[in-house]
Amino acid sequence: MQSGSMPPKTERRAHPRQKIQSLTYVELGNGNGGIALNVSEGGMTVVAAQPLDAEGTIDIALQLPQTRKRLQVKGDVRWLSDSRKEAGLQFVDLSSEALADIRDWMAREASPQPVDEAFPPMPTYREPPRREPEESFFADEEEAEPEAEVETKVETVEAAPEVKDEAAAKARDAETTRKKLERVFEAGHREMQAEAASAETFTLEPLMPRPSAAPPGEARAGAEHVEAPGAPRVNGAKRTPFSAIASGLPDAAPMQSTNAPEVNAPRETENDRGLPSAQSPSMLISSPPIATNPPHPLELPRPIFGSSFQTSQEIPEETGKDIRVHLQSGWVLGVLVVLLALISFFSGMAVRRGALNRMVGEGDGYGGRTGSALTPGAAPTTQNSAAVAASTSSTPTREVDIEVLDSANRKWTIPMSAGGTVTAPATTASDTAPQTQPANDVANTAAPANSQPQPQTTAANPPVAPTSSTNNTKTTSNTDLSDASTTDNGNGGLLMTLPETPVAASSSIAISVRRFIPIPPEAAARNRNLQVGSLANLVEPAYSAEAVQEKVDGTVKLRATISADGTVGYLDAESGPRALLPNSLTAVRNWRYNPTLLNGKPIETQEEITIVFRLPR
Amino acid sequence: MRTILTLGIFAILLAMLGYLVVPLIPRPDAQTTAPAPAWNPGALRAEPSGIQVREVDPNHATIVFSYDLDNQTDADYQMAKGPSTVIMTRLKSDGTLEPNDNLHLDSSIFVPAHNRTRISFSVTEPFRWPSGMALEHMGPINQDKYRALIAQQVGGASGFVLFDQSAHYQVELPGGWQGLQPSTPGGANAGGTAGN
Repeated sequence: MQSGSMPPKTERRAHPRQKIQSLTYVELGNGNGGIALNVSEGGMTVVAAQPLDAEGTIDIALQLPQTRKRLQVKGDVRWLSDSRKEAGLQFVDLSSEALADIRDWMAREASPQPVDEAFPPMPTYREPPRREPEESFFADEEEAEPEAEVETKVETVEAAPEVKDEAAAKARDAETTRKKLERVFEAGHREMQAEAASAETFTLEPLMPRPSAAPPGEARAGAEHVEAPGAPRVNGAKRTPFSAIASGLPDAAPMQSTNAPEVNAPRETENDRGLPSAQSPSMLISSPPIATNPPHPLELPRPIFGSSFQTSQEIPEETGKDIRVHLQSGWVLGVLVVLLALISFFSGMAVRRGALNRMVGEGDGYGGRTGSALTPGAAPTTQNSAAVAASTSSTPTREVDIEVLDSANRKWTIPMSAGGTVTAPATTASDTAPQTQPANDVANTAAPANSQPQPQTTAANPPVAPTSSTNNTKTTSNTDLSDASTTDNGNGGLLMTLPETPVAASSSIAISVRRFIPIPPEAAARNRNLQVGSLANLVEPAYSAEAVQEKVDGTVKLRATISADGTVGYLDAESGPRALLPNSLTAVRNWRYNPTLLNGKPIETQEEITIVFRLPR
Repeated sequence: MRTILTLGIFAILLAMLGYLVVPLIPRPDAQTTAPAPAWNPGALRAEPSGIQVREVDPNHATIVFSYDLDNQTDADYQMAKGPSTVIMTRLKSDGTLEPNDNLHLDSSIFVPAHNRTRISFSVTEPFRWPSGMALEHMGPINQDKYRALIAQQVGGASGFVLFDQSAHYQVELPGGWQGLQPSTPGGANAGGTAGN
């Protein structure tokens, strides 16, 4: 493809021009604006958003890059491109102060910016090789740059037939890019309106790619900041982002490309970093530098949260840092809030469980009253079973006695330890206290019908048939009952106690017995005949050799129950030396009695046996 | 700065919410979700008051263990008879608790605050009751028979422990039978033989 004819390369400039590296937005009169391409002490080249008039003086206002100064001058249009959007402006009535600012600006633009070491260049995206090189636009552009001529003819390039479909797709991409640029310019316009002291309202015309200068594929490549491999180079200079932007603008004519490989290097780096080209103009146009340190184009605030944050790139670098600090502070505060929430939750749970109170020693189980021992709901101190057992066992415990209560509610108290004293039997409160009468008063006793204690009467020692003075009942017996005593046993019956009678005696042993004959109530209420069974078989206990060796003697008292058949049923020792008990019990267990008959029926009797042991001499 | 203040106020409100509201959340069933609270062994103090052997019939005797409960709290205490009350035996050897299903409270317990109440629980065991008791006789052999009866029940124990599962009270009931021992084997055997 061939580029269009170029303007004659004649040097008509009175002042050397400096290519503007940073995109600088220029207000051109009322309602129009554009980008400065280059500048000299006598004028500047701009690309306007709307067509410019060929005649007349234009008010030019711009925010000088990297400074807070605002430059306001007037300029005459000295040349226009075919689209009337690229123009050369000659400054008019330039003040010395404005001239100084322009010189400073040119100096800053001429000094190369170091590449930020913190941003290594990203791998460059390269499109697949094309069938035929497309060079027209950049070739024109770069050929025209050394001269920075006033006009650049627009060449219409026809796409090859085999790439028409691809070109159509790329045209759509170019349209998308155009819309992006339109939004960018609108954002810059609003920013300028907000910040400029003399706010001038102007409307940006939608930017259109230059279809005549480059095929749609080139336009897309430029819009995406992707370097076309087939693009020609002039003096090794690569296509800059600015030129790429300019490629999307009508009649862009970058200048001084041959003299600015060093200047373009950072641009290339920026381009290789993959920053969207559509955002770069926005960033630079709409962000008047506020910081005292001049920001490098590569030292833009890094996006923190992706592309959504890139719309705020007009914020200076320091402001971006502040944002990050704020965001970090927000995170810290958020974490603190979550921690406080957790602490509060677990505190509440701990309060509910009583853990906090236990920690402070109040021992409140469920938030009730305090005091571990004074509150029923108090949480206990943590003691395990062993500790409790130990504390319990260490506490001296009073030893208790054993209380025995029989069916007749008679009570005995025996010590827990053997060898203690047995208390006398006593009836409980519900029982009637037994009353004992002298023997001569109770030979024959009539029991009251209501089982209440009644005075007992006795017969005057009759050998048989004593009578009762109360109810005239009498007992006839084969035994002398004159010394017998009768007591009320509490259940309506009587207990007749016969006098103690010796039954055996030797040099070392003497045996005597006392018999107790219970008379049931039915027999106590009337006359009765009692035949006391005599001892039929007496076995004397032997003095054990052990007892003799130990020289143990004393009295052994036994209690025995004589069954109705005359055998010894129950036998127990009441008192006596332990060494003498076994032989005594064995001997008595072998005793045999004749049956005791009450009104002809055999009955059970009780017997107290006293065995006196004397050491043999 | 305003954001910090807002977050701070929010955090304080959140903490207050957690402190005040969370304790009001209904407590889940302790048996299913929450661990059971520890037992309280200090609210009630017990002291043995006596052991009684009652004749039920000639072949059975009931051993009644009596204790004086001292309520050391500011509130009345009530323990009802039922499955929530468990009496266990604490072994003398190592303090281990041993179940004793035969022990039963004789009645419900009510101990007013700072008052003392006598409680009793009993166990019924087979026992050949001496017929000679009708003669108001209690000799050494009979005594040993009763001691043997009690030793059979609590010989290896140092005491009892009463657990009230509803109030989570643990009442240590020390044994009052430290000197419990039969008088002589011969005497006990003699009595036992005689009784048979």
